[in-house]
Amino acid sequence: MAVPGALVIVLFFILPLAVVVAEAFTDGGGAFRKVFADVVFWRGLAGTLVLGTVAPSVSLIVGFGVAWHLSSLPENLRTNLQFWISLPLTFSGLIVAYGFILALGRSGFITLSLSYLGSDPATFSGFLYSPAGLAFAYSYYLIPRVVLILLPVLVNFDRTQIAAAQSLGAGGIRAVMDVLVPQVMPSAVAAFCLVAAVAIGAYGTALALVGSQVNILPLILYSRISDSGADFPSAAALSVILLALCTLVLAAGELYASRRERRDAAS
Amino acid sequence: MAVVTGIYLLYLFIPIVLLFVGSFGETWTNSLLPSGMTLDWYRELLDDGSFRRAFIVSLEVVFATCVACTLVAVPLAYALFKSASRGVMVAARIMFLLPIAAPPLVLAFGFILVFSSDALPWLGSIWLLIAGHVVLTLPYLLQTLVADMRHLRLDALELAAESLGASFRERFFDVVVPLLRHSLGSGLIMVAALSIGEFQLSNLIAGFLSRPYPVVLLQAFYGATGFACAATVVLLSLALLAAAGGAYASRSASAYRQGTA
Repeated sequence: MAVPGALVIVLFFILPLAVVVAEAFTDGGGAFRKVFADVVFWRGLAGTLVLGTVAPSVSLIVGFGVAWHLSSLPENLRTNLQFWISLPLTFSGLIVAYGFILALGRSGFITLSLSYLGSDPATFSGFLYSPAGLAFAYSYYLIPRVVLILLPVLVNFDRTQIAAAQSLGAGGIRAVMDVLVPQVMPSAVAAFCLVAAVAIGAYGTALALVGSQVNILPLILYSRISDSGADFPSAAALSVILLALCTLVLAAGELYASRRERRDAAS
Repeated sequence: MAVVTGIYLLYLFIPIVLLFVGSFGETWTNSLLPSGMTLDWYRELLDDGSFRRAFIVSLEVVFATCVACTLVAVPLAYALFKSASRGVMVAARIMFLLPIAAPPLVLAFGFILVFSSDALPWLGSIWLLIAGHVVLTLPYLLQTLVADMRHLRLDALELAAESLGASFRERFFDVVVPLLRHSLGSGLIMVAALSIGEFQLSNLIAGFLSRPYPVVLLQAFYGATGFACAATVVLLSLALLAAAGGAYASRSASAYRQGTA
């Protein structure tokens, strides 16, 4: 029964990726040498690392706050809020991009509102078009993912445990560090890595927001691919690097979470 | 922490509200909010041939993607559920994560390399676009179906049917498929929502005459604000509609289960 599904996945998923990897290695690693010699690549890598760290950090902090609050609400209200919070998950990246242009662009709603308070619109909206600013827009659809991963853990977390630790003499911070953090850690790390991988690999929102002006790896790859007379081996090498980055980050989170679970199950 | 949720909800709703407001505004340049009220942008959108065509292409792609996903996912999910061996479960988990581990951009490049060859010259055809959407959305549908099979304890129900003499065919079509209709429904709504908004793969592999809506939408961002807003609101409304449909489906499913339990 798995045959049709397996066929579809092999033909339209495995085969294209395998061909990209093969293309990258056609000239014995020359394509990689060329990519590594290019200063644009290193700038893109730096931008991607900023984006891939800032976006998941912001998303994890905000997502935890929201999930913690939601977990303390009555179930009915929680389900309702969860509906609104999950909305961005199915939004096209383009909706997010244009919404943020309207809010934070050069003559955006928030940009102009703040300019009445004395901020300079050009500097403020310039932020949106930097990798750190992109992280702010990316968080729009990353935060819901974090909330949905953390919410079940926090709903099942028994808050009297913190009170119990405190009554045994632990300080507030100590109680949280020793009781809450170990229980949330596996899911938090998995959520961080998941949204980091999404942020590293995506290009749609960034392209719509800034064209290909900002230095992040997926946008560099996109302009290499869409250029006519493209240099396919070096685009393939860049693809392999991007693929490896996303897979490694995601795998690290998964391995950490499953190892912690197994250790907890054994103890 | 209620403050965090409050600020977060503002952050969530401001772009949505601004898009709606902008789509009804007559002019909006360098002002806090647009001035004047008009429906002209929607009228212009309706009259725009390339947007109309793109919208129809998108509907075709969504419909075909849902049909193909159902035909592929139901048997595959069943096979995954049945072989409860550790190796298969790990493989399934990896498959659920694949769309994130392999960025659509890289997949699109792979499509360009493979399907512009002489052996498989399919690049630019609408059905290759559909195949791409199927691969991108399939993991989400599979995940929903497998989770529901576990939740329903399908193996016990099937064992009961088998002990009463039901053949495999009868079990699959009279027990498995009807029981899965709720999760299939909500899973397909997710598939439709993702497919209609998909940009990253479509933008690189769609043929000029079969460009789906989001790909054409990007061009509107460089024009008048009102038109861009109206064109985006169409996509936004479809996403909202899908979300409402999904919530309704899951609510009626849980009501149904409580009724039968």
